This record gives sequence, structure tokens and C-alpha cells, in this order.
Amino acid sequence: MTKKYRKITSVQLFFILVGAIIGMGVTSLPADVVSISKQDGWISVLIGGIYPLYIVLVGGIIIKRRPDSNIMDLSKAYFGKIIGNIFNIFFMLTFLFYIVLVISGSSNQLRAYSVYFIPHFKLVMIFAAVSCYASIKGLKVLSRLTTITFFLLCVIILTSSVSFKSGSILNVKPFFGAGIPKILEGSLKTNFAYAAMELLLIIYPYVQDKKNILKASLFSALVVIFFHTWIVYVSIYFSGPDLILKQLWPFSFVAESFKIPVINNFRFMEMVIWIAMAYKTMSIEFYAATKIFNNITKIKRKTSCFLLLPIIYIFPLFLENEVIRRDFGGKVIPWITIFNITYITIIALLTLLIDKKRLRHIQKKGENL
Amino acid sequence: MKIETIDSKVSTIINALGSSTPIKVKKISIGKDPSIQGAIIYIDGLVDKNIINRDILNPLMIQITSSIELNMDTSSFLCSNYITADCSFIKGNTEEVSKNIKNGNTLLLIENIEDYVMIDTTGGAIRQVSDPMNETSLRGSRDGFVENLEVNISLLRRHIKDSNLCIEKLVVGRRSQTDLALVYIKDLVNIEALDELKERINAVDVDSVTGMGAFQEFIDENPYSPFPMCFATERPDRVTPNIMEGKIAIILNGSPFVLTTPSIFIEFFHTVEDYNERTILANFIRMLRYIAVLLVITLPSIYLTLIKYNGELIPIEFVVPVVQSRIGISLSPFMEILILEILMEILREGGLRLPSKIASTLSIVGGIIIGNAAVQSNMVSPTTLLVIGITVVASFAVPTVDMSISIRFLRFPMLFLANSMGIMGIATGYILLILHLSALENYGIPYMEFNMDELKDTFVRAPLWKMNARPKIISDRNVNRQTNFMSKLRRKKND
Repeated sequence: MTKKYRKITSVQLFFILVGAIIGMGVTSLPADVVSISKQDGWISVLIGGIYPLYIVLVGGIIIKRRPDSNIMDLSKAYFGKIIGNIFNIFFMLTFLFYIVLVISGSSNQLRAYSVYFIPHFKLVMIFAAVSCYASIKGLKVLSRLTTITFFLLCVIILTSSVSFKSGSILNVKPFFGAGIPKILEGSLKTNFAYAAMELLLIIYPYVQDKKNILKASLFSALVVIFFHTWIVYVSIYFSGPDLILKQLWPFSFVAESFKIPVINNFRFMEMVIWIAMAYKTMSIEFYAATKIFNNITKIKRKTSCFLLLPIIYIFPLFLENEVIRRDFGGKVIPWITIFNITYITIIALLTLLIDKKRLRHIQKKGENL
Repeated sequence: MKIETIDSKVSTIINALGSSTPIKVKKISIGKDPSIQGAIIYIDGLVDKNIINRDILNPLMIQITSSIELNMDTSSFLCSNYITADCSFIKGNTEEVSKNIKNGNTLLLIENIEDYVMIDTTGGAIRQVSDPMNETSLRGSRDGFVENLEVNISLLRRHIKDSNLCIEKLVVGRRSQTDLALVYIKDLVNIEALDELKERINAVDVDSVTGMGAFQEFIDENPYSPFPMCFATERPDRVTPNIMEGKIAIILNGSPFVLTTPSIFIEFFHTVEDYNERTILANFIRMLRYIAVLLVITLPSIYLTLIKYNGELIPIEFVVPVVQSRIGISLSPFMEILILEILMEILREGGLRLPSKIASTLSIVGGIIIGNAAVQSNMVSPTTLLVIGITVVASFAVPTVDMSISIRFLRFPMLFLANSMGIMGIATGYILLILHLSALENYGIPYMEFNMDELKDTFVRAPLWKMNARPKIISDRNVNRQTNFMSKLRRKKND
């Protein structure tokens, strides 16, 4: 492989970040937020977008100061090898946790919608195996995959706009009717949907044009916020807050309203696209997890893919019930978010405080260790 | 000068050529009073005897009326004054001499003179340049490559008169000694790709290279991938634009196919017509082609999924006809589709090599009788037959033979996946396909990658006057191929 093509471009970074965040889980996002902030759920999602924006902006400081070393190296350099690695292990666990939730969630939704004949453990096995295969292929291949899936996502978003003819504006009115406290409370529910923006801090050294990293990631955060808001808005507009609460995956309901004469309804195509989305999200998150594992243990990334494979195969098996899965996720995700925010903020602050000269010294020492 | 009789010189050359090859040796006397002894050596069938008679024998034996002085310059004197054909001199190296003779040149030996005089008498029967049989086009040029290396190079040279055009000759095959030429434009080609290609060609260590397909496999970077990694064509008007994009053309002597490499996935779906038609119409046809590709890969699997697992997704108007047509069918849907698919492939394979007179029998027996009987004997349902029929017809829309086979092959794994996992199988199949395609690389150039500024000639084609830049993905040297000249022609707003 020539040197030129080993790194990803900033446009590909954009696709990867959008791909890492938006997965099959967005179909259930409306149900999560509407349960608290009712018809103003879309405003909650808009506010929840502060999380990825914060990560990008704080990450911007790190990227600007230390463009060549990722967050794992920095944490080892600042806290020493042992404490730094403990943080890194937690950081890796967050990604593994995301994958476990995504795999089990995708399997649950698929079994409800189309592949009822495949048992949970088989679906999990297929998901785990394919995402392991994909992440072995590396970042460059994943970037090409996400480029394609991004446009598939756009197809779904576009077709959902067809529902505008059958919905009603009364469903989203009155604006701010739920009250500001409820809206803010609802925005906390969006944490999981916005998760995985932290991926930026792992992969930024592999981007060719360093100048555009911040621009691309900011843009990806905005696109994600737009897509999420749109998805929730359309769902509320189409079904109304009362009907949404009775569904597990409200957005799929919207997409199904799109009828094409021969293909009957859009469900088949929609399902194919959502499965592709699910695969892509898992693969990227698994890539991130193995990347951190590789950084901690120095085991080859390909080998670490196989070492971590049992985790993403075994744990989703316990989350066969969708309601239990959401309950479990709802309990753990806030802690993960808090950890991520603290971890990234501390690293950014330290990058700001420690002057470059000393840092280089620490860095070297860390590398030698 | 070295005293050596003509007989010993002839035997040296015969030894170098291999004593068991039939070689023509004709001894001649050059000049008169006293004449000097010479000989010409050639291989029958490779030379044009008219040239030998007219341009070598006639002047040397008849037109020289005086005596010829024997010294260092004799051979060049003869060449510049008497021999009218093209000459070159070789000193000492009998290896090179024998190689030249095997390529159809004639050797002139003169007693006591060390130089070997090679006279270009290449001839023999060569197929005429004609319309390529397997790649017809409505509006492209009518010349196709032939089996001769020199003719093929000349065909390309007629299209590209750039002074940077570089033609590099190599030889592959220990015993077959097949000639090979790399054609590229020096200041456009991707140097890293060129170096790697040369390295791979030089590493080829085989007895013989039988054809382009075999050679392609020897230099292939991903030999286990079902997708073609080099673009093979018979049409000079397809090779020329590729060379202009910075790719390298490989011409192998004896093969009417010319390879261009490094190739990218999407170019296998483009045709000459795409560039000779009006933009909008060309794009319409291109879109049809992509739809056909998707149909070939997925239509049987979608049909299988619908009737086997997800009956609720069949459009309500279709449910009754589909169900009715399946009453009393003995085979399971999967077996039914698989058997028909394999039958279609057998029909196609059979029809490919049959003489045209028997081929019509095949199409009647295969297409009409078997199709009809299969339905009437309740082996397959008419709907399945329709689906398979559409798939087969759609597979003809893939323009390149190599890619057509790959695409047709893909529907079998897809069918197996759909049978075991339904929709999930189709989606998994596509994801694995995309992953495989994204992971392929050809001499360091990604096989499938879509960059924003290079979408102008992939799924759709931008107007030709808008394609100002060469695709950077192949080579990033001298990217501008045209200026934005249309803007000069645009009318001013106030006019």
C-alpha cells in the first residue's frame, strides 16, 4: 500500500463520525425522549446535541496541541502508565458497552420486524462475527463502508419526509408545552443516541489534512444533531406523542408509511438499510475498542479483535428482552457519559496547562516505558 | 577483421538458434571479379519473401557490377548503397541475433566480417484490423486490436501523438519468450504503480505465458477475489482514454486483448457509448445498467425471502397469483430457484461455444421446451421462471465480460445467505461485498473509493466539458486535462 492512501481524508472522518453515532438505535430514540418531554421531544434532542458538540470543541484543544498522539497516549503521559491505563481500560469498556447495547438492540428489533425465525443467539453471533471481520480490515476500509452507508441513511431520512402529507402539525403543538424542566430532563435521555463521538479522539492522528479535522468533526456533530432532531420531529409529527409511547421503534413506523406501488411498503428496503447501519456502527465501535486494547496491551490489533470477540458475543445474550435492555442501558449510560466528559475534560485541561516542552519530555518517557 | 569462412559463421548462428529448428540458409556471392561470399539466414513463415527477393537478393546479387572491398565498413557500405530494406548492426552477441531472427528478421553474413547485419523483413500472415467481434459498439471506432504486438502499438500511437508517450518492451516466459509492451504517458502515470507493476512482471518466472488471462493472473495482487483487477479490452478507443488518465496499458504479443491497469471497480460498468452519446441519455443508460446489476445480484434472493419467510411483505395484489401458482409445486422455493439458475448458466455456457447453426436448436430446446415443460410438469412455478428470466436478461446489461461473470457468480452466495437468513442474509451479503470491495487494492490504488471531487465519472457522467481534472485517485500528476473553455463561450448577461 502506498503511503498516500494509508490515512483517511477529513471527508472520510466526517462519514466515520456520523456512521459511529447514528445506527439502528435512532429508530427507538423518539420513544425514549417523548416519554418525558412529550411533543417537545425534538427540542430535547436539539439540546442533547450539546454533548457531541462539547466533545468536539474540547477535543479541538487536544487535537490542536497534540496532533500526532491520541487520547490514550496522552492519558499515559499525564497520569503515568498505571493510572493512565486504568482510565484507558474504562474508556475501552465504554465502547464495548455501546457495542453490546447496539448488538442486542439490533437483534431485538430485527426479530420483531422481519427475521423472527432466527433466534437471538444466532443473530448476535452473525453480528459479532461480521463486525469483527470488518474491524480487522482497518480504518481505511471502514471509512469507505461508512461513505456508502451515509448515503443509505440519507435515503431513509428523505423517504421519511413523505410522511408529511399524512401527519398533522397539531401533533407537535403546543411548542414548549411540556415545560422547560421536562425538556431538559428529556435531553438526558438522548445520551446513548449521541454516544461514540469520543471516537474522534482515538482516530484523529490518522487523518491526512490536520487543518480540517475540527471542521469535519464539527460538521459531523451538526449533521448528527440535525438528523436526530429530524427523526424525532417526523416521528412526533406522524404519530403524535400518545401513539409514540405505545411503540418500541416509532421511526420505523414512519418509514413504513412510504408506499411504492410494486414494492408495496418500504419495510423490506428499510430493513436492509437498517441492518447495514447496525453492522457499520458495531464495526466502528469495535474498531475503537480494539484500538484502545491494542494501545494498552501492545497486542496486535488483529489479535485483539479475536480476544475481544467473546465479550461482544456473550454479553448481548443477556439482553434478549428489549425492555430490560433499555432499562439496563438507561441506568448505566449516564455514568458512562459522566466518565467520558470528565476524562476528556481533564485531558484537555492538562494539555492546556502543561507546556509543550515538559509534555514532550513526559511523552518520551511514556513511550519508553 | 577476423578471418572466418562463411560456413563456420553459418554454423555458429545455427547453433545459437537451436539445431533442430528449420532454418533457411541461402549463400550468395556479392559483387564481381572477385566476388565476396555471404549468406542470408531466415525462418520461413515469419518473413516476407518479397522483401528478401526485392530488397536484399536482387541488389546484392545482380545490381553490384564492380568488386567490393572487404574491410570494417563493408557492411555499412552495402546497407547504405544497395540494400533498400531497413538495416541494423549487431556485434558479437549471437543471443540477440537469434532472437531477432525468431522475430522475423533476416540475417546477412559476410565472410571475414564480424558484424551481423539484421534486415527487417517481418511479414507472414497477420489478421487484419477489424471490428472487434466481442465488443461491438454503435458509435465507437471500428478498429480492434489484433494478435501482433507491433500492429497493436501502432493502433495506439495513431490515437496518442504526445511526445511523452512511452513504450517499454519486456519479455516474459522462459521458453515462450513472449514479447510484452507497457504503454503509458510519462508525465501522467502513477510512478509507484508503474514500479510495482514492473516489479511484478519481472518476478514472473514461468515457462510460457499462454495468453492475456494467464498473464493477468500472474501479476494479480488479489488472486482470490472474484472481481477482475485489470481491464481487458479489444478496443483502442477504450485503451486510449485510460492511458490519458494515467493508467498503464499492457500489450502482450499474441493476444488481441490489451490490459489497462490499475483499474477501479466502477469502470467495468462504463462503455464507449457513454462518452459518445448526449450527456443525459448516456446517464439514463448508465443508471439502467446499475439497476440491472442490483437485479442480477438480489432479485432471486429477494423473491426467495418473500415466499419463504416474509410473506407479509408481498404486495397484497400479488399474493393470490403467487400463492396460486405455487400450489402443487414439488420443489422447495430454494431448490426451484437454484436449479433454474444453474440450468440458465448451463444454457449460456453451452451456447457460448456452439456453432451458430446448432445454437438455434439449443435456444429452442433450452429456452422454450424446457421452460414450458418445467412449468407444466409442476417442477417450478411460472413466477419463479419469470424472476429467473428477468435476472438472466439483466445480466446481459453488464458491459464487460469479466465483470459480468463476477456479478453472475455473486447471486449464488447471495441466494444461499437469503435461504438461511432471509432479509438479514441479503443485508449481510451486501455488507460483506462492500467490505471486500473496499479492502481490495490494486498497485496501491483503492479498487472502490468514492471521493467527492471524483464523482464526475462514476455512477453518472458529468458533461465532458466539465471534467477538467483527471481522476486523482489514479495519478495525481498534471491533474488538469482541459481548461474551463465553455465559460468563454457563454453569453454575457446583458446581451
